[in-house]
Amino acid sequence: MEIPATSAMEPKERSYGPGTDEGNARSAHSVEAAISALVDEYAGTLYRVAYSVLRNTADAEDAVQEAYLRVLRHRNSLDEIRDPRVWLVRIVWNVVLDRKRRAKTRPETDDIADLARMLPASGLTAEERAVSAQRHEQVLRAVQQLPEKEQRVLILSAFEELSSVEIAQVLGTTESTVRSRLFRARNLLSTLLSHSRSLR
Amino acid sequence: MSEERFSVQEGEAEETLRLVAQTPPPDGLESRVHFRLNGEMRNGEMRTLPQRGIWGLWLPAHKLQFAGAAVLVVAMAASLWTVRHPKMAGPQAGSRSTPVAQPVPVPPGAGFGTAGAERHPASLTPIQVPPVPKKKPSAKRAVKAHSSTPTAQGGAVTSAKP
Repeated sequence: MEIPATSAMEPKERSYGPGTDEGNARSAHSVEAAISALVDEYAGTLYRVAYSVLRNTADAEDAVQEAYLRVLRHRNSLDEIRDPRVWLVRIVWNVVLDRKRRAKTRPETDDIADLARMLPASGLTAEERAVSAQRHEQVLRAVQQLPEKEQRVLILSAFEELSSVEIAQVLGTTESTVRSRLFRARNLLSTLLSHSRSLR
Repeated sequence: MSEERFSVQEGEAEETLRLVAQTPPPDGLESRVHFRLNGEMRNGEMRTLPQRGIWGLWLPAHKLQFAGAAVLVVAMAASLWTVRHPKMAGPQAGSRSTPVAQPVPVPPGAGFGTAGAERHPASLTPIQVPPVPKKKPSAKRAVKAHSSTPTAQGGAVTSAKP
């Protein structure tokens, strides 16, 4: 995938003397502009990644803000980033996992039911919408039962803008590992869904 | 048949996950992130300015600043330690000291000895001290001492001859 070129990411401070006040001020300004461009371009993507794991609007927004604060802390190394989108997704992914680990005691069953009802179901009758919500709930519960690694790969694979190579970069593994985990996740999910439907 | 069912279920599952992944972000998310970042940047500047005013004159890099601070702390701790715990002259009270090995006298012309050996010149003649005769306490003296004891303590004087 082609790396999106952000004009604000270009190292403008090289044209000025590194030690001069003018150079420092201009480089600080260019870094601010670069971060601002990153917010405008990727905040939505980062929010969706955070929301797919946390399933809470406020938590997801907090995670996005925390991710950008981490970017701000590493603003001096922004020039070294080759693919800012994957880099940012990786940052927000780590933020989200940290938060999830901390809030492990919170029950997730209510979240799943709420989320299943909130998912868009345009052009459906009320009855169909109820059935659809029920199906979504089943799927989300089945996903919740998957092993952690398979679950993560499956969640990230739902993002159309992320290729398997990029998912591997986000998770810090190889592409083949991602593919094998995805295969295993899909098989497990099918088994779990067929089992849950046979019980009904 | 089962494979078809599996693929249908997979499709349903992926559709659900895709719908979750396509959840639209709330309105004004970017502006709130901008606001938070601007606030953080301002706070960061406020935090760094006074620090640079003091330390920036002395050491250029942050790492060197930390190293300098660490050296100062170590030096102060060492000086405090030496003030609080001065050197002790002898062994501490209550501690058991091992007996010191006495030098072994080596007779002259005995060849090599140990490092702690003590040598005396052959010309040195030891001083002979005559033994002091011990006085055995006789019965008469014991009686005399017994009778004179109250006198020494301020009691009544008995019929004692001078």
